[in-house]
Amino acid sequence: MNNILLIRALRNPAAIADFDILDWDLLLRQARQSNLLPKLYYIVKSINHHSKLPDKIQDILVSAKKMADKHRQTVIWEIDRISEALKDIPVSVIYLKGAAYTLQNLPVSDGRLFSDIDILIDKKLINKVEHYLILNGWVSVKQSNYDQKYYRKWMHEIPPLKHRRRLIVVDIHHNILPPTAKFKTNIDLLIDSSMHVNELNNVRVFSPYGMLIHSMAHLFCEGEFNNGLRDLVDIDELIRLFSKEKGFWDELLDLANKQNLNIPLFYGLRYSRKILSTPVPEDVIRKISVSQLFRVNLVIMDRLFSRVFIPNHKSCIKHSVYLAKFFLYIRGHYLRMPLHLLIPHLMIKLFTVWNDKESH
Amino acid sequence: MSEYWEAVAGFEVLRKTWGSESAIYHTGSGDTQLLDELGIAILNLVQAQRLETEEIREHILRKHKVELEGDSLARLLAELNRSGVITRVQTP
Amino acid sequence: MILSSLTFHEARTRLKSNGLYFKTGPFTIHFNTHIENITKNFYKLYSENQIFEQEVFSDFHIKIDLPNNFRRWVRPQVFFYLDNEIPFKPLPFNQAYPMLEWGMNWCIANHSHQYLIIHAAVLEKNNKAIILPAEPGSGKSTLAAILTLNGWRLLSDELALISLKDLSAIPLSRPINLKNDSIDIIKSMSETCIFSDVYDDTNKGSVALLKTSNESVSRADEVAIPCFIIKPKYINESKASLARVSPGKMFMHVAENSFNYSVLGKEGFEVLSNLIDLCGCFDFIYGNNTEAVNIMNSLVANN
Repeated sequence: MNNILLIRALRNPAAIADFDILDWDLLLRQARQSNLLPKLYYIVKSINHHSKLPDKIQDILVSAKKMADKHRQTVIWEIDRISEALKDIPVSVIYLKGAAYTLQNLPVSDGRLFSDIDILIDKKLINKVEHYLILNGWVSVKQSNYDQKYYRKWMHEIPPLKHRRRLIVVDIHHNILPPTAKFKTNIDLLIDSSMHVNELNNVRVFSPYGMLIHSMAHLFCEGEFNNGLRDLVDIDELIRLFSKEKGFWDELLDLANKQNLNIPLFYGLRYSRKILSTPVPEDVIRKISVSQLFRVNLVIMDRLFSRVFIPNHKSCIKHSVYLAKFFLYIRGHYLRMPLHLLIPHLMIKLFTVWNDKESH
Repeated sequence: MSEYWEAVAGFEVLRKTWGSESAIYHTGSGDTQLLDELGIAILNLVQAQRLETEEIREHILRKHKVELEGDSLARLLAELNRSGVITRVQTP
Repeated sequence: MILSSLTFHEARTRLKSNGLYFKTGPFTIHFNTHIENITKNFYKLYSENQIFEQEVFSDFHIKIDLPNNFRRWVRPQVFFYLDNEIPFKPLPFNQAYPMLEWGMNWCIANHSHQYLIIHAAVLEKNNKAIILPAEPGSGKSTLAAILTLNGWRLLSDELALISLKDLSAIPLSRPINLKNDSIDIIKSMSETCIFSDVYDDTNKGSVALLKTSNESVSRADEVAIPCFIIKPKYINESKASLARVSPGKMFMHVAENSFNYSVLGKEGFEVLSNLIDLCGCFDFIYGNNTEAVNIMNSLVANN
């Protein structure tokens, strides 16, 4: 039984009915630091509990919800502006993650906060898209020559662009993982199975299975987990929504297999179930094809991941959390790039950090 | 090729009028602007139909008996364009 | 129970250990610090504020302290913590107390979107509230201090909190932030007024905080209905003038001086429109304190 308040609320919204006023004090802090405070508004709403809360708690939740509404407005408008900037070129823009959930008005987008917008473009058209965005007021965020070259050569995205006046950052990907990553995905297949949201402007999103596989690949190949719990909540909510469809699990397993993403799928299902009680049938996890060695290693991975899928709040962060984060950071880099490429990159990064410090 | 102005579809524009002044709020961009009577008249024109800059100038002259200087009309249109209320379309 | 019912020593011990829980306007704040200058000024300026004996639900958990490293000894800097985050850059040690005031403003302005928050002073007399929105340097706080010393109730010096439900102004009566020349102007007006230390060389020049009236603090639960929005401007020796401003222009001025108008989106537009409808809008130039008080008094006189 997990005794972290936020996780208890996420696992079972009805549990909040038993929280006393000081529990609420801590719960709101854990949620705020985890970028999940507006989500808490919707959790309370899901069990019709708002009117039972003291006014001051309702005020805080309503305030957070208003901020999330503003984020939604900003994202919808930015998508409109991107469509406008690209209206003269025949290109499909696939919106990823939060922007995709918002475009489809999925429940997972309720109370979701954004830091940037992620899009995916056919690699052949990416330079053209970048050119048109720059013509329409976007500028590159990464100025250094090294960064520019590094992104273009090794990454699955070009250096991010930011709109000069609106200051919203857009990450422009041509793949869901770097070409050097350990897992070799088939991006054409994902693009082919994407769906229209808005026919007129060529606004697209991945299929439900694609969205789920992508969010898992992203979370479990990443090295940073500052929004780890938030990202796991995304996975949980997507599963709860889509698994109602007949044949859902077979399709999901099939897609992960075709994309060589069985391992992220395994982790995604395992930890969302373990931590957030996501309804994943045991036999589905057993069916995922992963090696015996991988299953043995799980003892270690369980220990690491259980320390990062926690609220980003001091009431939950112990020393072992920093160590787990460090190991997962190294792992993330290793998964994205073989060592003979990774080490020179980290050296150059370290060197520029030193140089910057010296010159200040 | 000619250049037209038209209202941006899909987003509501709220108005609040006090005498000759109106504040408008664009629910897409979140921008707020203050327009005088002529500004509102121009907005009404463009919201009703797609128009060229010169057509707008003629309408205003005919209906409101006001001759808009080149600059002031262009400035207002640019401002409405920036906040996403209207947009520029080109047709061959 | 109010802060002054603790001895200075008791208050200091609490601030250093488990923290002190106090109320300011609608907010409860849990505050921790080891810094003596903060304790001294806080005890003086917040003496009438309600405090709590036990741990209570708090809107903000804040701490101002030195970090635990060698910077303690060379050019020490103070950090403001909201829970476990550091929302803005540290300040030199000698600005620790103003940092408490600015930090609380930051917390409220960034997290309390249940209100429309305007960068403005709010004062009330005869059940009529006036809102004074203005850019820094316009004399807003000076006018707020003058009126407070002349029997007006201060609802706020920096942050006007407007209820989204009924447009009432919610009291958040805190010390008044005075800058540069205004400090001496106000000191010369009254011998009984209580000031914090004077903090020189902040990015706003010299700053001192004036304790608000006891009545303003004790009536913190009484909201007031806004009747006028007045854009003040102090011009030395100038004759006072009160001139109507068009509602549209005042709408734009208040929107630009609001911390969360844009966060509130459509609701912000509607609430601010209604607030403008409710209020008379004026430009107010003043150069003489007595004259300013007289004009403001006659504006809210019952007739």
